[in-house]
Amino acid sequence: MIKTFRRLSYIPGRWIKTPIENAAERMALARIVYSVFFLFYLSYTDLRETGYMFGWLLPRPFGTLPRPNELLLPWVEPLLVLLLVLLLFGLWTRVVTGLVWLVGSYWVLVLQAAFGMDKLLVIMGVYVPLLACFSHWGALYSVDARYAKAIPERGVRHWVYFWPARSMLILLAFLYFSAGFYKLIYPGGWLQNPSFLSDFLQIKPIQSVISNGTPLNPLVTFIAQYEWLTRIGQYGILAFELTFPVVLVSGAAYLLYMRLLPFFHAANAFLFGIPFLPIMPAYILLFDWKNFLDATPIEIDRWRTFPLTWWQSVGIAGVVALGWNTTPIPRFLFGGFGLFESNRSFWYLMLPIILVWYGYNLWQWWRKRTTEGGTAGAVRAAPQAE
Amino acid sequence: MDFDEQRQLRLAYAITGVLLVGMIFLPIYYIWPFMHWNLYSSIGSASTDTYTTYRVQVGTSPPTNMYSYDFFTSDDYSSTQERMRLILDLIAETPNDQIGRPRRIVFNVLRSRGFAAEAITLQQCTITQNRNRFGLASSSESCEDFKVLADGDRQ
Repeated sequence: MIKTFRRLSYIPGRWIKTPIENAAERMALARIVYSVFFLFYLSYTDLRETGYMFGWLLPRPFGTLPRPNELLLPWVEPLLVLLLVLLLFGLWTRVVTGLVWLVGSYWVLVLQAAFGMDKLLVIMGVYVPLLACFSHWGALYSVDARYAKAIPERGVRHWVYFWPARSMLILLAFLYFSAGFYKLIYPGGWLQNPSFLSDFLQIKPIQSVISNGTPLNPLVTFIAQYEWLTRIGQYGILAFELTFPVVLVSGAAYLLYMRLLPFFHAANAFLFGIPFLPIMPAYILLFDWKNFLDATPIEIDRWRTFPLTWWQSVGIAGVVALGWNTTPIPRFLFGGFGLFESNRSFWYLMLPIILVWYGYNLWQWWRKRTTEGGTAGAVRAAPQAE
Repeated sequence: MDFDEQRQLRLAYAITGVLLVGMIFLPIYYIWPFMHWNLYSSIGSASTDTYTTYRVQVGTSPPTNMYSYDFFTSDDYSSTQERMRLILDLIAETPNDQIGRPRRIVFNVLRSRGFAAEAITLQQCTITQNRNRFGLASSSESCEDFKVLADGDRQ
């Protein structure tokens, strides 16, 4: 029995231990982007609004938790902000990540119990910090690295830095598959009702406009008229979700699905008004930030150890946290300099950036291909010329 | 840097396993991330749901079922279209305190059909659905009919 278990555990073990380029750099940069993204999200929420809350409906396992003290509640967000700024700087990273997990979990609970907000918040507030607090995402680009006896070598490919991203991929594969599976089996739902998506296209955007002011796309009623269009959506979404676990076994599928994901979410945001923002930290763990920043003029390698001292980091984090609810400045800075009406406008900025990034990669690939082709041609041509 | 690889691997298995098994087996469907829509949330536990469906027929087209996802937000009159206002008034007359969303639903149906219909039939159905923990459902429904033939006419 134990032998069989060991043999079976060899396969996921081998998968999780596959070396990956720039493992330490990728995860450390993911830590910074995660902190900034969480602060961006927080800058558009305000727990002080719970003074007007009409309900306190807790998820089942937490059913006995008392309603939060309204004097204490306004301090939850500044505390989370303090921790996230410390995480951004990479100070006492493991402990701070653990605290982000604890305070983040409470923040998620309050938002869900009081406002019934997005269930996916658990990805951002619970899953990512829980996975990361046992990892080494503070090893680089951090204040911790400044005080460490040794930091990872450049381009280190060791899996121990990257396993939280791989674990997240397993969870994502399960979530996508189960979302597709429920669509498949739910009676009277996705497949059985031919007008399901057409109806949903007409109802959900309106719901989003009313509940959170997401802009209404005039195309939805146009699309909803054409059954063949909604049928493509109906089967396309189902196929995408059900086949998502293929990313775990095929590198090519992983590349393809990761490139399709932004369009999947952007379409959800533009057509249904569902931006799926709290799931973004899952992709933040998976994205190759080192590769991305290397393509920009930012010389990120100069910051492998942050120049801040621990007391400077604590001071800055404290100032930001204290100013969070007392001045508009931190929310303005982390909320995108007033560029967004709400965090739900995220995709209006992100999709063009992603398209430019894809275009750049395509251009690089084409340039490399033609250069290599030209060089190879020249090498081949040389003996003939002789 | 040196790592105890076996320890790291066991840790990775443990955390991933706890999250994965927890997501599947613990009774936390309420915070199960993909349960975004109320539509699917009844699966996994025995429940009784009551919800409202609006069946709209425009002209001779087959009926369209419009599912009502939530009804707690009030809405306003935003259109000056006479035919639509009739429908909106009609719905507003129903003894239902959650009248916001249906107005918008009808608005969208009409807009998607280009306001070309001669007759619009609207049926409001209240469906009570009992579901066992395996997701098997039995339901009963009661419907009220409304029909708008022309401006001001109602059957």
